[in-house]
Amino acid sequence: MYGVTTFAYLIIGGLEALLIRLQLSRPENTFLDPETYNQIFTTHGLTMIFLVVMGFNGTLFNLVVPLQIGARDVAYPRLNAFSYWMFLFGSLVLNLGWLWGHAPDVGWFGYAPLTEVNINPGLGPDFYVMGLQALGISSVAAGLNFVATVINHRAPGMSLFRMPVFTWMAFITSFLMIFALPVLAIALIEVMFDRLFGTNFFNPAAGANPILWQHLFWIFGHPEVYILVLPAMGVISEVLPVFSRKPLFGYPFIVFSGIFIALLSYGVWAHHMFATGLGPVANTVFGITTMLIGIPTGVKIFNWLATLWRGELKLKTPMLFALAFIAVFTVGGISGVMHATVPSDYQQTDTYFVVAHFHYVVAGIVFAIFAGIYYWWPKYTNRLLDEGLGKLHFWLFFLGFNLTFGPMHLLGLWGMPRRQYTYPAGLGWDFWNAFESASAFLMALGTLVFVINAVKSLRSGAPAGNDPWDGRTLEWMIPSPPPAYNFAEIPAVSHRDEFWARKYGAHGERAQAPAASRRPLSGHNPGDGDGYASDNPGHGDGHGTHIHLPNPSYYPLIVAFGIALGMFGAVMLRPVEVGGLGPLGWALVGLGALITVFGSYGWSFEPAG
Amino acid sequence: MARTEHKKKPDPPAEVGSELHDLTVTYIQVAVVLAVVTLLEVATYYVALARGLTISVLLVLSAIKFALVVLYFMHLKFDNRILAFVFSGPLLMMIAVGIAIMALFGTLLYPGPIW
Amino acid sequence: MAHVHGAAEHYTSTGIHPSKLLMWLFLGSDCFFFGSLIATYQAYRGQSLTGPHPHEIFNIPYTSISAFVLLMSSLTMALAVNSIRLGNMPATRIWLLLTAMLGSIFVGGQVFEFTTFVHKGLTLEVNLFGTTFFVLTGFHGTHVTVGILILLSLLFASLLGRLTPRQALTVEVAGLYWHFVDIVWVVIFTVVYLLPY
Repeated sequence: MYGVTTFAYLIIGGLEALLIRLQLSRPENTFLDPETYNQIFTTHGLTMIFLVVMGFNGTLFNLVVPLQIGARDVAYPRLNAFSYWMFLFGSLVLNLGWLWGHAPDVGWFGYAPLTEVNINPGLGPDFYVMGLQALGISSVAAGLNFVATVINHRAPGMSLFRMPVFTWMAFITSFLMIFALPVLAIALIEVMFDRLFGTNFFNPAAGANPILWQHLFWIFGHPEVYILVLPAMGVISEVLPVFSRKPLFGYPFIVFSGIFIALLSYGVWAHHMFATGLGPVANTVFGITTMLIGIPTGVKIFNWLATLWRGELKLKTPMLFALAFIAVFTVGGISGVMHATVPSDYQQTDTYFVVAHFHYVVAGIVFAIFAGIYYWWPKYTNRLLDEGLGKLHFWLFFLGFNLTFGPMHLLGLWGMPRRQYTYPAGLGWDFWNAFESASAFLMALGTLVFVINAVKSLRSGAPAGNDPWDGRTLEWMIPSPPPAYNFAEIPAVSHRDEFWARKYGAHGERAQAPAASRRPLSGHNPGDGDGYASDNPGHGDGHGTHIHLPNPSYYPLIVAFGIALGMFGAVMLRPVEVGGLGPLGWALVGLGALITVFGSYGWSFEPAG
Repeated sequence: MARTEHKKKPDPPAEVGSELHDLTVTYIQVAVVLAVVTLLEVATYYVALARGLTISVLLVLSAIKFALVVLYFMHLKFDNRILAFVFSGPLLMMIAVGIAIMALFGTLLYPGPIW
Repeated sequence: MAHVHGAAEHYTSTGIHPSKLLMWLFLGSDCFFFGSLIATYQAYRGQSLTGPHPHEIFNIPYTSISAFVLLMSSLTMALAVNSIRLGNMPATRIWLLLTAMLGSIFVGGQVFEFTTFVHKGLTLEVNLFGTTFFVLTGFHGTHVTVGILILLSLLFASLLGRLTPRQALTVEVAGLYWHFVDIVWVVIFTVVYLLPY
């Protein structure tokens, strides 16, 4: 469900991007008026960051992590369902503003005092605040669940340092989600209180400093970008070894880099604020920490390259996307280091150079997303995606990506400012803007090819079987698609890349996968048995472990709906003149609260599965 | 059998009626210390010490109360180390971020510009 | 021997009860929640352009007593957890009730305190102190109130016979939440009320 929702938002976010590019294709264009442009570029950012990348991370965490650790399910299945419903409803609250003609228009970063009610009286910032608040709850719930799952639900013998790197990155990301979102929650609460209750958090007339918003937002925001990218790096760390037929080089270094990045991500936030007048001491400190954080990323990249070195490379579609990610992310990382140099940043900030940088890194994540989709698609659908179409998708997307975002570096250095709905003619920017706008359609075309491939695969794709890629990790041991209980028998793990070791021996001494050493697990398919497993697969002795599947429950949906309704009600507290309901909004808030409480009690007292 | 033994069973609740696990006395002792420390804190507030000294003493005293509640009432002293990391990690990071914010706003060492 | 399929029987890789782990993680995230509110308070400390100012408003003896009340509620909470672990349900109920009562006295005391402040001219909107103070302590008070509701629910469940020594973990986890709310107040009391401006 996460996957479908996420993909729908990928299309929406992509359309928003195309609208931006259409407006910018010519100087002084009138395709979009300024107010609409502001809403489009704001929602493009919000959609891509919070709904697409985080949604895709949620998808993968759900689908892949339990399988990779040999678990039957996540630690808290109902909490998991709640995360999804909160994600869906939160995304609706965020986008509901379109119906009022006032989608959020303050940029995805919502700088105060642009969000203050006297400057922005429309409902846009209110939808921004409440939508993000709801999405934040979804992320925290998911983070809690996955930390608990990884800590407590690993198969016997799977120590932390035998876990696949994707699971490690998901684990680290889950901590980041739990510990970064609350800061955003407070920042949003402060804006909300300023708008609804006349508080003074960002009111200069009362002595407040609106820069506090930027601090709080980026204390959240920088860990957030690592929330976005660490799972993507995890995907790459899965795909490269499989398609090089070599183990991941420097596993401990890659894991520790991830941990170091997560810790250090709390110490770099003000690099988004170098031009705000923090002073030389602050700028120096944050400049240094920012350069430091580039190091562990570099460590990962070199370890990936070492994985490829002398590998038996299979250039299938997942591998192409993974290799492209490395290239693209490196480019983005380099421009990032340029930003870390404070005086250099003074020229680059608020120009298209920054737009180029973050698209190379964050939109670069889309390469990892597609790598993950192509890689795990056979596991969940038992179908292969067409290689020819996959390669066409790849090249269109790769070409379009570089032709769209590459020239932005130039435009930035030539002074084109960002977050502007148009630009004057004759400054030398006209050609490249038009070029970028045309190139963006290549990416759209590539995505369309993917959609065709997906539909074709689901209808008539070749069956994939358990292990189409000759994989290394536990998810490839079980049938495709995985049965509801994942593993009929929880495997005992004694190696990193346990499945590979079972097939080829711990040191790869066996050339072919020998039938004799195949454990009973991979032979199971959903038709076998009725969910019972025992220690002796061949002998049902009645003392086996009964496989619990959690009962379906409505309460997660109810609680999520209640919270979202309350959030929407809070938006409606604004006056009637701007589209709200005034004091009547309290009725909605109250109703939402009641539903939440009722749902919570129901959830607590419901017997567990 | 062999497989499930690899997993640890969670610590079970104490046996019914066992005196070994009755922590009443410990808890009351902790509560007495907490009360005394609170009294000391309020006393420090009223005694006219130098500003830096007052701040240091008050922070230390409140840290003691914080630690006592966490270690004893919340049982963290006797529980799995992982839980201690899961809590103290964010705690320390937030303190660091908080100090940074104060430094960035000029309120770390001196009061604000108005009074 | 019959297999018992309650949650307590699920095996874990580390021996930590999942709900206990979840609560500690949540409390870790709540550290960031309250930490950010306190950081906001500290960023604007002493910078209000107009009054009322803290030293004109605070009644330290009054607040000290309510801080003491909340601390003692932590004692009664710990005793409640202790009782249910020992299997003594009547004592558990008494301690749960006492905790909820002490918590309510705290919240009631806060409501009274805030009403006094408002009458002296300190509101959410009047200056930075009013804004940051009321939002910080308001969210804390909300957390306490939610805690009281949880405690009363446990009490009610116990009266219905649905809370037994087998659910000792639930009470322990609720206790963790309650103690956390208490230690947040320990920090707020010191930083907001006692530290010199």
